[in-house]
Amino acid sequence: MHPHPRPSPRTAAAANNLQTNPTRTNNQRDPNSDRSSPYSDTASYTDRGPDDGDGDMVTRAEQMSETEQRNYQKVNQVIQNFFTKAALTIVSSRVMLPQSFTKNGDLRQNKWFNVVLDDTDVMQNDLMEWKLMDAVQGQHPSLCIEIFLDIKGLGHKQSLVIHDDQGKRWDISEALNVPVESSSRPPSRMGRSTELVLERWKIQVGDKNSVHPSELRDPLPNVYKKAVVLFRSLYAYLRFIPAFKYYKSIAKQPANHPSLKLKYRISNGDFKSPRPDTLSIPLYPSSESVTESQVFTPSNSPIGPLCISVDYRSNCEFSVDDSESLLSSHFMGLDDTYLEQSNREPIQVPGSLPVNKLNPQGTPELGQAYGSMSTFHQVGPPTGTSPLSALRAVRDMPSSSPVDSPPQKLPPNHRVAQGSKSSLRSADTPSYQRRTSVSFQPFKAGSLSSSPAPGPVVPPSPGSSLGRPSSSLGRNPSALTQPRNRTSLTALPQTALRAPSLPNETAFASSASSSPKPAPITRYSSSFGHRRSRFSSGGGSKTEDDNLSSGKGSVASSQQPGSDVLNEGEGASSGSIKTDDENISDFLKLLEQKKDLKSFNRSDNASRDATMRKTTAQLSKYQRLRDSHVALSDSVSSSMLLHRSSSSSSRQLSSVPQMIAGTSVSTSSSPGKPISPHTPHTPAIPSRLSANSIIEYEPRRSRRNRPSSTSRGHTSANVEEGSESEDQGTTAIDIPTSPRPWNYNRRSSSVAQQNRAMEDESDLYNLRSASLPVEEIDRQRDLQRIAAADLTSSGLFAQTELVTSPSEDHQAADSVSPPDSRDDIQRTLSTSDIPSRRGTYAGSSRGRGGLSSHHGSSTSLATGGTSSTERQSRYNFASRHTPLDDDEPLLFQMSEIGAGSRRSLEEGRGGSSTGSGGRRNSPWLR
Amino acid sequence: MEQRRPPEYILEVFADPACVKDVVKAILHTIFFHRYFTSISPLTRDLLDLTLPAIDDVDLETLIDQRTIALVRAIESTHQQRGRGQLVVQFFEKRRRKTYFFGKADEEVCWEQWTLDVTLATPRTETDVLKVRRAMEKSLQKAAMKIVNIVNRDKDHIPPITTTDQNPFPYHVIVNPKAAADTWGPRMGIF
Repeated sequence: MHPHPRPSPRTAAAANNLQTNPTRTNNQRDPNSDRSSPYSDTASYTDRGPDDGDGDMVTRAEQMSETEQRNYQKVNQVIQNFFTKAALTIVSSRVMLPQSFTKNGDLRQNKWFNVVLDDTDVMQNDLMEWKLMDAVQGQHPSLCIEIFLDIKGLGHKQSLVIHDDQGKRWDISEALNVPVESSSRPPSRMGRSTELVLERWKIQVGDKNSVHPSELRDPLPNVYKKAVVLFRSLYAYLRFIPAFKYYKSIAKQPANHPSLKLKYRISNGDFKSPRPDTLSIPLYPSSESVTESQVFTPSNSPIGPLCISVDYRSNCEFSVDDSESLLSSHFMGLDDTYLEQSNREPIQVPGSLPVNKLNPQGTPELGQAYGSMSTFHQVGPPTGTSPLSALRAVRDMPSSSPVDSPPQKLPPNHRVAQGSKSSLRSADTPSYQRRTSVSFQPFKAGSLSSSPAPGPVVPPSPGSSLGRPSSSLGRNPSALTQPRNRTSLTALPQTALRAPSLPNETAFASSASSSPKPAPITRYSSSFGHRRSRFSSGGGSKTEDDNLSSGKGSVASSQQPGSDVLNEGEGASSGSIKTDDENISDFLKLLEQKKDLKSFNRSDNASRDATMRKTTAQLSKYQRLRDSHVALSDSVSSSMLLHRSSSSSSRQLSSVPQMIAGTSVSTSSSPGKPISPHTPHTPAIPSRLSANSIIEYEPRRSRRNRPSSTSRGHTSANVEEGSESEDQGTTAIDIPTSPRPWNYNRRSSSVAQQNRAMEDESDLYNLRSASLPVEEIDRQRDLQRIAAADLTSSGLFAQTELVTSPSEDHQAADSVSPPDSRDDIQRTLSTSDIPSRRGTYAGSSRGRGGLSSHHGSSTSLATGGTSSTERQSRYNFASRHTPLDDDEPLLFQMSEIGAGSRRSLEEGRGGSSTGSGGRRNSPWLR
Repeated sequence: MEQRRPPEYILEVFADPACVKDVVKAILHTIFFHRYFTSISPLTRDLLDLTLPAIDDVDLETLIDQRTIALVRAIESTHQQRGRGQLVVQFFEKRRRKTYFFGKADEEVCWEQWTLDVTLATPRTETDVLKVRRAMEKSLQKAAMKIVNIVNRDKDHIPPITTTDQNPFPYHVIVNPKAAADTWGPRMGIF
């Protein structure tokens, strides 16, 4: 300061008055280290008469001819020191400044404005402009001080992170790079900045005309006095705001602790910095504003108001962490949050009326049993024993049951999903969002376990969702049958109870299936292959497999004539197909809604495809599916009748045309509607169909169960138990329930999560080896559960019949929890051993489906017959799919969906007409 | 000026028994930090995750400690008003009384008054402890911010400073002025 001040005074003096020795004051100050200046001011105070508080200046002017010059000089000094002192006050509170010493070796201090601070030489050059300025002449550039963190100062493998309100850490480097694009002013930001501005202080002289003239005439002592207050408050305020806390935290840390010190930059505020403005860049998503500001009330001066203001980040909870630990923790944290969310969502979902109602039917129980994990949860409630209690339990169960069952039921879910999609869509956007979130979490988790990539986390959700569908597909054999059964069951109950409820389940299933498809694909594909092979063997229509969905439908139609069992299985498959279609539509919607998801799906699919066999084919299938979906949706939306027909077709496609058809129809109708709308309204339509389908499904399931008793064992003891007259109904119910829950979970995302967490852990882990599949499985499970919940309505029937059985099932499910684990293991094994186990599963699922179908058959024989054909078609599809393999499942799903949609359409129109007719008939019958 | 009623600023703070002394001291220091016009080397003190300014002045420190202890005792002993207490800080300027005579009689004229209402909260559960602590931090920060804003907003009523030798403005800190009207009668007269 001294050196600079000297020149400034001299220049000023020269310019202003040679007579007065401005230098005197300056010189004095210099030697005294600025004390003189304050003192001189104080002197002015003393000069004032004790009586006269105000007239100091006047008296001075009168007293001394040099007063004006002196005053001029003093004003300049005060303004100059206002700037420099403010800079010193600010910077010294953020950065450790080296001390400076006088010639005598004494510590040099800045005592201006009665705040004594250790002075420093390091800012001399930066502040030269303000130390030399002639403020009185209007030369008073604004002073800008930025306090920032420069991540270039980080060591190797170190990351600067900020902690948000929840304690989550966010990498600053990511925020600094992203913002350039995200920020509202991309152009201004040049490339990447490594500096993160925490505070921007501005010291300036305001517009002279903006203040009352009397303030300009304020005597200098008053100016100084008021400035003292301003600087005191500045000193205090500097320590109130977040950046000081960071400074303090660094100071407290041991020297060897990694830390990033604050830096400062002094610049002329009149010039705009070419640097990107990183002050207001959001570092993490938050509803709170990134920055806050404080404007100190301007202090008077003869040349205008002296202003100090600051914009500062409201969160400066920075720390330096190890990059690797950050990554892992980040993932973990994400996973946790996801899980939490998923859990929450699932819970909520179960809470949803449809799910609860559906679940109670007892189908949920089966679902629970299937998904060992889910079974535990679901099973408990179902055990409620009495139908009412069972229903209530189901309500409770749905969430849980879906979770557990979802994996197995996933396929059904897909099928259901279509129908459910409509419902889902209605309620769906939220559910989708949730799902996405959920999916993300799973992915993250999966990514963590399997693949660490953080980025994937978000994508994973889509992928996971995709994988799940695929997984569901793979599982389909067992799961499909189960899910199918479940769906059918759910559909029946739902339709009986409420069409909307069914849609929800279906929607869940669809969503679940959609999400699951990618990861599950392999598993599913394998399962499909098994199923297909089996189906093909049973149904034998491998050609149809090509058009998995449509093929199924066709198969179903063709098969329907074939074997009842096959038909039943097909019926279930058709149901699944429909769901697939719906799922596809959902996927498409999701894709449209969320490009990310699409990308994810695509990425997942692509990777899988590449790994698998037919990426392009899948894509084409998807596109086809889309078209078919659109067509389906349009047709569905176009008319209930159409839906019925389509549904019937889809039903036909699905093993259980009649019963399932009813459900599937409802689903399809709902899906169709939902697809176009993407959401909810469809349910009403589905209700009709669902009711019909439900009946059908039950019979079919029963049939299926019979054939695939072994499968029953796999899927769940519940089914077997239910295999009996009551058991069948229950099994059917359970199956749907499990899918339904999954659906719910997935859609709700959170809801499924709990179940997922449970199931996922066991099943998922197995799947998790595949990472994505697990998630998918969970989703599927959720869907299944949801479906089961939906099924509840149909399940109600079964429940009433099965009431006791449900309780048994529940118990079994309870006991099942271990079984579930077994199931999970099996699943895992299936994933590893996909074909054989899947085959078993498929069989089990078939058996389940048979059980459900049986119920339906009991209700309506005709439906059962159609269902059998449908099942064949499905099986065929599975077989067809098998060639595609696990990876292809997505394709299958897509293809199936598209095909199914197409098939359903076609079938409804032509070949499938028989099935559709059967389905239609079943509805009609009902 | 003479007839003008001095501005009165009211601050409210909330504290638990363990921190009430520190909180009150911190608020008083923050007030004096902006009204102690002699050149000072500022100090800072950390309290409840906040850093507050303080003045390195033995006399002032002693006065603040005494008054704070008296206030806390009053709050704890007299259970009136649910553990509430009040501190009043007054700043005066010395004015030469204009008498009919040439007497040197000086009078102290109050030009500013700060009223600090202290509410004592006694948490009874673990959760309450945390709640009270948060509320305490909030109230402390709020009060400190309020002081900063007030002293910047209102500056015109600050009397001229006529001396550099010592603190130009005498001050008084009064505990429970209303309840202790008898005890503090002499000073109350100032009002």
